[in-house]
Amino acid sequence: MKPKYLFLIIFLSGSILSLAQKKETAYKFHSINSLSLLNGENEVSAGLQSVNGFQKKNLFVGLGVGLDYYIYRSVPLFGDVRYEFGKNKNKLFVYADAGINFQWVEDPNVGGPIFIWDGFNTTRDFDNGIYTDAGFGYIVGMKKGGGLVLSFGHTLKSLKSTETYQDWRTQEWLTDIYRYKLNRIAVKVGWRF
Amino acid sequence: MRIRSFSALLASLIALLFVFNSCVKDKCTRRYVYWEPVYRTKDEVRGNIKNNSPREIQRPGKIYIRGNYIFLNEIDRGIHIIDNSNKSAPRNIAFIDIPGNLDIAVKGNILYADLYTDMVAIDITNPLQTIVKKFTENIFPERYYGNGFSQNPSMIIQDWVRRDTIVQTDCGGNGGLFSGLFGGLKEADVFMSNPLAQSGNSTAAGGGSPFGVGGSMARFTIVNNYLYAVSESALNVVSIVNGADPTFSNKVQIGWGIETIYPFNNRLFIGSNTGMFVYDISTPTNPVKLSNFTHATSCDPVIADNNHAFVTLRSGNACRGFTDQLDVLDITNLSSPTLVKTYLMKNPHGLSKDGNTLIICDGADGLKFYNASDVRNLSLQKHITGLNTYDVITFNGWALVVAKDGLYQYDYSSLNNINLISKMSVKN
Repeated sequence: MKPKYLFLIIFLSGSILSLAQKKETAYKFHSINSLSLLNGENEVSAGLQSVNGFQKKNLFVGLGVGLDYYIYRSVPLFGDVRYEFGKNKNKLFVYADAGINFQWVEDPNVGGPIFIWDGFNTTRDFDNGIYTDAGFGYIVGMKKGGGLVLSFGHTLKSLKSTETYQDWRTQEWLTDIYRYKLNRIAVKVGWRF
Repeated sequence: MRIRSFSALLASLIALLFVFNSCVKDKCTRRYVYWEPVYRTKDEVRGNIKNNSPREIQRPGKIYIRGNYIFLNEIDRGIHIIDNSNKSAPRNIAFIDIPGNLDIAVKGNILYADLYTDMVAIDITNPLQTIVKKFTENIFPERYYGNGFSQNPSMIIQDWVRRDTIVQTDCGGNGGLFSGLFGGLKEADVFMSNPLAQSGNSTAAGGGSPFGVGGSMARFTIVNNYLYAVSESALNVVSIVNGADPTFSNKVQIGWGIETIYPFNNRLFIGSNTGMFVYDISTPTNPVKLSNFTHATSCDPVIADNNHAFVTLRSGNACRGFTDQLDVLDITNLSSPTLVKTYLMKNPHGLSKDGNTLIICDGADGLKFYNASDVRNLSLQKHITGLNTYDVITFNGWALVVAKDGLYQYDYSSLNNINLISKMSVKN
């Protein structure tokens, strides 16, 4: 399934589930949708995330999906764990995410060495990597469990690409392998409902 | 929390985002292949040009037949000596180490071979005991450079060692920092398979690389007492009046993308990326251009008979062209050759003509035998598939074919019954 459809399905499912929830239960469903600002060594970029899951008391466990535009566009799919401190409406929390970073690179030649050679047969393919995120945040609670969510953390995404080309002297096919480990600081602002 | 307080918190976090930015680093690596030269002194290399132990054939190039022996160029390495007295069972009996060797030519008992920038004359009277007669230096000066790699001029590259390495590389991004390639290796120390990895350098002709261009589709030819050798852009004339003492005579600039040379009737037919040139060598030391026939950018071996020239054009990486065909040209008026007909092919390489039989090496499409009695209506008589053919030599119904996986010998004395006599495999 294409990453963009995956993102859409999870986001819509989360929204629908949240709206359908009428009754107070021990496990409360939440959907946290945020916009992130990503700053790394090579770029300032942005992203979107939707984390959907269930909370019991101060512990939240859910599944998230995002759009990450840092250098190479990708769609992280990850598990999310959060722990809130205190019983007030406004709370500090810590979070940790881990999962797969699905590649959805717009142009295989963006970013890395551009390989152009007349009459040359080359291909460049991207492969998925891992995604991690961890940090702390603050929730400004509103009615019915909703609220503004602000967080700050460190996030890592990785990707791999292979570039296959024909050595114009030897005529043999060779493959260069590129590995990317991209570390960013992320500030997210969003809404929980 | 009030909106004002929330906004202040958000602004603070964004400020922290940029403060802590320097704490995070992107790590990007690249794994690639490069070739490391193995240098020897000139004396060491020259001292080793003799019959050494036979080697497996890996990258066959130009072939030359003399009596019962086949001299087969191993591109950029030297010459295999093959005892072909029993065509059904040819024997690889020796190897003459000649680093940088791309082509060979033989007259009488003397074999001429290039050794990077120099030429070596070898007495092959007794193929089992070859003797170096002379080194003629600096015939091909452009061979020092290739693909941005400059050889150490005081040494000769004996061999190349393939290595894999991992280095830091640019991660990309709008404000990308270039982490540097090679991780300590200097560009000039090694040869990159990916030519663009040698940033900034344009390609150049010839060697100085693990495997040179050339081999089978002749860059050397001998007419009477002169050896004519084409480089990327020039025609070199070497006098072999005294066979064992070749001397440089003349160099004529003839264009660019020069690839092949073929002699016929006191003329030289020279194939290039862009066309075929015809040179008159009535005065052997002073080739004079008679005409040229242009075509689309392509690789271009050519042969000729009294009335026609046969030119194969092929596409491919090194050729930078998109055409695969055979052009038949009318050369009755050598000052103005004209196209008679074009025949589409798959990826044609070398070719040969024996009487009315035209034999074409059509790359992965195999070997094709045509009845060429009517050049306007070539008739395919036999198509041998299953081999990736490169070049062919023919002699009285016998064809010696250089293919990707071996050296094939065919008896085509009867086109209705072409037989495979033998195959010497090539190590892949």
